[in-house]
Amino acid sequence: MEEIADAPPSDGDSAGPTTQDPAPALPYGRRPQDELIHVRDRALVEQALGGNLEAFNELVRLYQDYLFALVVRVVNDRDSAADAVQEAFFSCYRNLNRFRGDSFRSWLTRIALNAATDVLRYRKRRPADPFPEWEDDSWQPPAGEEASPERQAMHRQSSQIIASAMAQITDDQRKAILLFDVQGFDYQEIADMTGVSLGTVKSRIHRGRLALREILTPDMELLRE
Amino acid sequence: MSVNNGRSLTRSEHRRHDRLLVTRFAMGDAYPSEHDEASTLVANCADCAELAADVKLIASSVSRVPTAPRTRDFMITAEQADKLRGGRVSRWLRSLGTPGWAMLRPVAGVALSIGLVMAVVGAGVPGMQQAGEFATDSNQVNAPAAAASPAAPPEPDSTQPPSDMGPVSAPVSGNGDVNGQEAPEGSPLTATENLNEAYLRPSPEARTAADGDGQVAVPRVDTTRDLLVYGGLAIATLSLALLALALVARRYFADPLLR
Repeated sequence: MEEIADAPPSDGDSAGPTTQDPAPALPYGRRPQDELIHVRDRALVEQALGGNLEAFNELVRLYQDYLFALVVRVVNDRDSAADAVQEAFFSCYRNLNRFRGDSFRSWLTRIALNAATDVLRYRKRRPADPFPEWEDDSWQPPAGEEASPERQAMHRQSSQIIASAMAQITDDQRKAILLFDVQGFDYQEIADMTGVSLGTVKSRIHRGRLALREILTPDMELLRE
Repeated sequence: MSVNNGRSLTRSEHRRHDRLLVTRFAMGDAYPSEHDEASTLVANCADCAELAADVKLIASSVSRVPTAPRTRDFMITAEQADKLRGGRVSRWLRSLGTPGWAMLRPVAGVALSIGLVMAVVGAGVPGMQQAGEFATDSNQVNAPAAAASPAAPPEPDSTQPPSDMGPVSAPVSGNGDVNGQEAPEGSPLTATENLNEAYLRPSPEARTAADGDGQVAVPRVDTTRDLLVYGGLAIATLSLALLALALVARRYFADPLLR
């Protein structure tokens, strides 16, 4: 258990949409390391269900960075994202006995996306400050030490341009693109998480990319460098 | 779609191209049947080729956008855990929203319908009661004297009045002809209606006579009817309670994030 628990968080570990290792004993697209992660998570869930709060907090430790990174990209506001992630973990703890799937990460992601959707809905009802993060200069993405100042500035600018463009596409398209391109879920997992069909997921991703390209057309030169 | 050889298509022609197809093709999601068309577009239209390259670049760039580090720790304290777990009742009500209890509401709804139907049938729908009365009339035609006699207890029949009714006095026409359509003087009721009225509202004399001669009126408990009425009401009440419980559980205890 210990060596499994010490495994790195599964952020990015999942089989991407194009890479699949041959693993005949495992479900389609599942890699052996994914299976280890699922076993570890299920063991922790079992312990947490038995009243071991430390086991649940171990799950929190494993997934809080991943979940925050996802939700903050969806809602574009760190405070709202933090609230949504906290709510997601609360909900997860309250309903741990309802976890039936084999992927705790997918289940947790679905809960967090629902919390993020609630934030977006609330913001639509009160559109006074739709994307407060763009006004927030308190945090800047870190740059590699070897990068030159010009390179750092360019990287920062391109990141802001992409983030700004992501904020302009629809919420559903943004969620689908983030889950696919950033978090590495496959189409079926995204369909299960968001409760829509496989075709809808693909459509959202492709239309979202096309919309991003339309928005980013004036800045594509910057991205190409 | 006509595509010229070489990248000689103008920008206006590019507008007519299926850009979504090019996007899907660029990411390897085009159907095999679309490959030829998509590859021709990318090969012969400079704008489509640029679009395909840009889509790939955007897909890779999105994943490289750094995210802000989390602002706080999300671990749960023991106090929070106690509060989140809730009491025994709230835990049970929360569990009513789980898929295992998904059949509760439809089953309770069906049980409510069945219970109401049982109660209504048992109590007797007015139309059915009238039909039963007419059916009784034909029986009474064959034995008019027995039916008209104040002391004679009526035959057990599902259309008979409740058990504590006792003997009745029917103000029928003087010759006891209940079948006769002649109503008593001054009475707007027919003989049949009078008889039914007498069943429903026995005269004080009839009650006294029954009590006075020491004969205890035999209770004609119609168990089937009672079973229908009271059983139906019990089922309906229980179903309503279950439906209310499910509603409360869903409204106040279901977790909105698990939708």
